[in-house]
Amino acid sequence: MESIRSRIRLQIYDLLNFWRAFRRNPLGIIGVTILTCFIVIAIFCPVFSPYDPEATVGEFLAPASPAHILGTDQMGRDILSRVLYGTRISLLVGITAAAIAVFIGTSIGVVSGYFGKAPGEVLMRLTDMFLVIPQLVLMIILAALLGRSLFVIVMVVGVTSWPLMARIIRSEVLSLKQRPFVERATSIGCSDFYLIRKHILPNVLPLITANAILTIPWAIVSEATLSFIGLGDPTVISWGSLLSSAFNNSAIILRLWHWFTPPGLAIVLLSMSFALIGHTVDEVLNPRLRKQGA
Amino acid sequence: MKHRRVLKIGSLLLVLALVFSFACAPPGGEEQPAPEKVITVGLLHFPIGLNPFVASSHAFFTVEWDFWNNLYDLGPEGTLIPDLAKEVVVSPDRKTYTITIRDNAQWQDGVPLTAHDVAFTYNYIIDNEMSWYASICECITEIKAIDDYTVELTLDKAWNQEVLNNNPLHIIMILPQHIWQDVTPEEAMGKEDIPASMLIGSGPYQVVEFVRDEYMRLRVTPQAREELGAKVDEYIFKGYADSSVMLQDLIAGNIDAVYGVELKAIPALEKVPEITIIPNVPARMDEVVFNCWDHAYEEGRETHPHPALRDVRVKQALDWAFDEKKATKMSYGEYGIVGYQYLTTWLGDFSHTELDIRGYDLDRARQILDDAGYLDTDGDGIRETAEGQPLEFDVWTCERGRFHTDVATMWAKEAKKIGIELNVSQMDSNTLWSYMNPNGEFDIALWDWSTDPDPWYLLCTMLCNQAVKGGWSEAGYCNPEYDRLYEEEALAATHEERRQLLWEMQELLYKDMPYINFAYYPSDTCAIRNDKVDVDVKVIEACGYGTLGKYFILTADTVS
Amino acid sequence: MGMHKYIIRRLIDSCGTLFFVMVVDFFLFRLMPGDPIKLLVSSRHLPPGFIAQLEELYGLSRPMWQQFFIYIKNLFTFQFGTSFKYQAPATPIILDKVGNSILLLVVSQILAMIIGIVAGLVAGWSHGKPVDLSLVTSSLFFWCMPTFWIAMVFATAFAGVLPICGMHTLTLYNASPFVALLDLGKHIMLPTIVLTILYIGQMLILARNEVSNILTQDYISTAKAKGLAPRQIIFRHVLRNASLPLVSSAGLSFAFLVGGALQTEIIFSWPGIGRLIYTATLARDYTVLQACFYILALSVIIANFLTDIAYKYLDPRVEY
Repeated sequence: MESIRSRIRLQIYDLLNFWRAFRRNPLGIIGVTILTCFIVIAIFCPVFSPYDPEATVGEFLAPASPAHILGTDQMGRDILSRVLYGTRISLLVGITAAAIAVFIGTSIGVVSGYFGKAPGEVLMRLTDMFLVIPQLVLMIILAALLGRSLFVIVMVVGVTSWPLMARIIRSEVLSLKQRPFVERATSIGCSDFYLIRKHILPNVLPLITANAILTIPWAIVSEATLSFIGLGDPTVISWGSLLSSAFNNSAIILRLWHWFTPPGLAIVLLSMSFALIGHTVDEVLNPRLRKQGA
Repeated sequence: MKHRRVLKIGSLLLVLALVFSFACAPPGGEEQPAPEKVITVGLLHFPIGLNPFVASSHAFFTVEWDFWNNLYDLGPEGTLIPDLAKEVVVSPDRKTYTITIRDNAQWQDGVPLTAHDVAFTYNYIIDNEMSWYASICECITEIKAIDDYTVELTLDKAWNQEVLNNNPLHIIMILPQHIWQDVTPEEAMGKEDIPASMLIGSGPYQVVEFVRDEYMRLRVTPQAREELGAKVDEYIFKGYADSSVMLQDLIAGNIDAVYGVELKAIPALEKVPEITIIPNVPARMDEVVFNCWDHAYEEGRETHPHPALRDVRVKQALDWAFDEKKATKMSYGEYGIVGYQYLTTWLGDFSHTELDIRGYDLDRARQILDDAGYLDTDGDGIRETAEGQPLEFDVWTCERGRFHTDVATMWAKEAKKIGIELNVSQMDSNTLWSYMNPNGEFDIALWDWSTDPDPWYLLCTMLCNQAVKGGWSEAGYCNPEYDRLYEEEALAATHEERRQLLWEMQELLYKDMPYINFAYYPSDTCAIRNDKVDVDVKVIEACGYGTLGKYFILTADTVS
Repeated sequence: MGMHKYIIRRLIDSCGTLFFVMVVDFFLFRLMPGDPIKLLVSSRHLPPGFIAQLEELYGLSRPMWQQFFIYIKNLFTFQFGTSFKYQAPATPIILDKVGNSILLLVVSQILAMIIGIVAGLVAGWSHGKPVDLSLVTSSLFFWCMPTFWIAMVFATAFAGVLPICGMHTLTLYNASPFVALLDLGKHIMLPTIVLTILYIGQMLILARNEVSNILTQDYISTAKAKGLAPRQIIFRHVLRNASLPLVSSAGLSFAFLVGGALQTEIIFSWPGIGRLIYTATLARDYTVLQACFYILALSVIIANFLTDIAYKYLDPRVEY
């Protein structure tokens, strides 16, 4: 009882410390602010959207007007509403794909780093091989083979993004293994599982977090890229499918800036918010001298 | 010092890059005098290669088509006129054709084109079963050259002359015997690529350079310039990977013309005074396909159509819920034609314009379903069959139709209102085709076809003998009455007789509903810059498919 | 470990990775739902000679393990089979285009590295100050941008100013090598700018972090105490040590750059392997896709190998 309560208190204390350090970083604050806005939009988009994003409410390809601030698309649907609703899918894809990548990457990284020798070598070889394959090309091939659905996209992005994480975690685990407390624990006879759970994982957690957060923008941008190539899911409302529809309907030539600029900007902003947060987390958890000058 | 080494390596890499780029510089080729008049045309779907037997992409019919001559070809008014054939005498039983070839045709290497080349080409195709060309020539039992300029053709039946002119006498391009007699069928069917140097045609231009997906250089022959009045020296077809970028280059003036303008982009191009749009004939059609297959043709596969789709009343209701006008407007703007019959309006009086049309009327749709006994018994908004199976269908589209998924999505919304659930999803065309033909493992799909100036070949997709593995049928439709009418129309004695039979066939299709037709549209609208190219747009417009082909090349001029 | 031994070990390593790539390449297209190779053979109107040829090349009727060895042998001899779309041998189609992509990639990578190091130096030097923050923000901004989107915007904006299609001006006849080179330079400019923008994002942050790390080291304070001017510190110590990790990561991030290059090649119709992959994907030309996959992985392996050797050359202390 006592130990659990004190453990929780310690963890809250750690978190508060972390937040205090985080808060001092202006980039991190900007990132959190932008992300919060997007989360609010994602949750409350039925409230913010002037129209039903799936309903035909206007002329085909109508220009921007007071009734439709961002005009309508090729099926007469309001673009502003679709951009707002697109936040949901983009967030979903980003976080889920990153979660898959983190899960696979961490498992392989920890196992390969901790267990070393034969299984470790094989896993490391596997990771290296995956790193050698350009991620986008592998995504394209897998998506082309598996078909066009959101599920496929999330799986494909997740499955191609784990190698970098695995490699980073593996080297960290390797260096952790040399640390004295590990030797001490093994000498008492602790099981591998216990060691991993109690000592290795908590110590790689900062690394995992920073990298996990940085994987999310990659996932969001990849979904848009796959849609552009023609492998996305045309039946969902995502910024990627919005951009792909825009290009398909000659929006560039028709100078329909209001159609292809907002989704692109939205992708950049949402990704950037995660990137800024991830960058700040990385700074806080892996401190270099902060006040550095000439 | 170490950093000097870094600089050394960096500069070494830069030098390597420079050397590399020299290597990537365009091939110098022979130092010929630069051509004076050049027209550059942008192209999206670049021809696959130079081999006439392999090129099945649409681009083949744009540029490479006019590389050779045919016995009959499309004339400047869009109708079929004799090309190599000077005179045709048909025997009274309509089974023997005596064709006199004109004596002024020449191959680009100077050898005269004779009847021997004509007979050789047809025999080469028939004897070696050269893909779909052979299937067009199935009606020919014998073809031989009687003398240097006369060909005698013997048919198996008394074919309708229009059908003959438009199909085997039009589509088959005449090849030079002195070149192709050394080409084995394996080589012809694509084991090795045919080099540009081997391509000798009889048309107004020669392919001098072909870089796959990048560009193609065509030089107009001296004969075309002297005898046929061609003014331009060289045509360059430049391959683009993206339609918007290509049109952007046209607007900026970097290219002189574009083949294959995206219909939706036309309003923007019309705003530019230097650009003239050349519309094309509505030879392409979109349709909804219903599964009509009655059994699977491959082992281990199963046809599992929804039983409700066998009931034509369900299909009728779905047709009443399908807004053809809106679908066409959404897909093709002002350039699509709404159509309900199987043959497009381009085919003139062959196109049935007096059908009792099923338009867009949700009440009518609901009425039909109510009367047929499909009611929503469990209150979930979806009707069920008498056995309780919900009316829920999969609708599959592919990338062939750029706007098919949108059309299907719109249709699904309407279908929901009448109590039918449509699940739309998109896949690639090969996968979709493999689900349709030959096992009929689908409910509903969206597909498209394009037609020749004669409907004979297009109509064969609905024959029973095409509803097999490797056939052209995707719906799996089989009606012996249709087959009978098909045979009759191909043997019809007059145009009017044929027209009546074709109208009967279209009525049959409209009744049985393997399809819902909805849009006819041009597939290869072109655009030229009138400040760079001088050509009579009316002539080019009438030409049918291959707009920037022969008549363009023979009549265009550059503006200095 | 001596240079020779290092090279040999890296070579063996690379071969091992290459073998793994071949294995994945083989199984990727066979074990996918529907066995796409079989599907393609059965669904198209393929001429009979073609099917026989596929059988000979792939050994489709033989057991899987035999097919595997046939495949490996073919890859080693760069026999990639026949393209389904072009119906011509795939090898010359692909090898023609690889050089064009490598040109684009190498030029962009070098440019991005130079700019990235310089900017990263500035950022790292003033860690935490506004200069650093704005540089980091802009570099993250570029990293988060979808490449195709920025490429499309550039192509639209600069259509009249710079060429936006292909590698050469086709109406340039009988040009001297110098003029041809200049023409190539004009054509490569926009795609390079787009790719460099994409890549700077990564390079800058990497360089900046390295520089920050180095500046905290003791030998820097020693140098300052010795009275060395900032410029001398930079050139003699910081730059040399900061560029090493960049060099080592350049090999791997080559793989990342290929993805960006693919999109750039599509927009600018650059006749490279990226564009080939795009058209092969649209046509579901699995032969070409298999071969491109292999070629790209091979290029990255070679790039890695070269950068590892370069790294060892620059810093002999590194162990295998």
